[in-house]
Amino acid sequence: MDRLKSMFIASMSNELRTPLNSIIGFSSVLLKEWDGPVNSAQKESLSSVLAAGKHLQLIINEIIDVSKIEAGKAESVIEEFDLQGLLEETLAITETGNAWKGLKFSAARTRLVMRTDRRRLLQCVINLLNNAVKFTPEGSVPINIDILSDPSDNPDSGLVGIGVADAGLGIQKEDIPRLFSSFVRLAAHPAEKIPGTGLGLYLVRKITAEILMGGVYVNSVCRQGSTFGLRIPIRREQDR
Amino acid sequence: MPKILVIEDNPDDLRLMRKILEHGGYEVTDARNGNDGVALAAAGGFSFIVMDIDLPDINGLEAARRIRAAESGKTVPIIAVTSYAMRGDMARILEAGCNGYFEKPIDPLHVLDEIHKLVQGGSKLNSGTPSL
Repeated sequence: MDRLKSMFIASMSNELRTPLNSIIGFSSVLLKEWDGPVNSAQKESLSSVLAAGKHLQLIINEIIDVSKIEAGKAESVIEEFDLQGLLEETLAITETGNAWKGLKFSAARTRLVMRTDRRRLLQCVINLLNNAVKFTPEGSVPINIDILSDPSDNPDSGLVGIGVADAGLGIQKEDIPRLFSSFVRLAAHPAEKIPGTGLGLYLVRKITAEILMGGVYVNSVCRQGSTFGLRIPIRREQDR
Repeated sequence: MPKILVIEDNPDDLRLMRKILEHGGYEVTDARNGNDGVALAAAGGFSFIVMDIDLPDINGLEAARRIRAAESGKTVPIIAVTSYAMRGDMARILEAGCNGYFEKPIDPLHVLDEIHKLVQGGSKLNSGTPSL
């Protein structure tokens, strides 16, 4: 059943990409004024079309990703890399995407060398950062690192925790089990309209469990904020 | 003006690709199905070929294979455009003789950039926006 569902979703997603090609492509071209000048009110409207198209594209990409992972068809590439470099990359990407909000992003310094699927870990950390951005009205979004077992004892048994803290309202205890499910959007602050696909944390959980071979966690203090994170092996073996 | 063959059956996608390429200073010839595309390619004279994968008669992979099988089509760069991004698709596209691919929805500036680079001598397409 899961398999059928995944095949259906993947083919639907492909059907959705064709109309998106026109929405994103033509609005980009018009905004670049290749067909002649566009006034500022028109530009504003076109920018909304383009932004909405890109948001839909993100949702479709996440749906495809989820369906691939659920069908066991996600490829993984295991490589060795510096965690510090990966974190800096996630910060740069998140900063560019959220510049308008004026938040400060930072990561704890680490010399840890990891061996796992770098691209998937990058994707998870970016998802956690974007999630934290939504629930942080102002101030900073820090990434915390903790090494949970000393890798020098046995280099193959160490775990690393990578957590991202937000300054949101915190999460009710009864809501925590539902957080990493698909399409669950908890009621946020009534005054805030928080954009999202409802798939971000679910993807993080799926990728962490099935590709990074670890687990996810959340620590939340009411009115002080939450930390969402993952705990994964520092070195993942080649075979799954 | 470098000539480009665009093989695409969807009229809107064709109009968009034409607009992008003409803006970049290329002369565009189009084919609306795979067989016509293969026939036009056989006549030669194109700096490169943009190939939709989902075509009504033969699919883009088969069309690319047939173009490559002819003497006139051994070296012309072929770039696939696809909305399918499942496992193994990329490998199949390259196996069929394409030099790279763009994923729909395409980003007009990215497409122009990559095609300029390709025409200016490189044969490797740094393609695809990684779906993060």
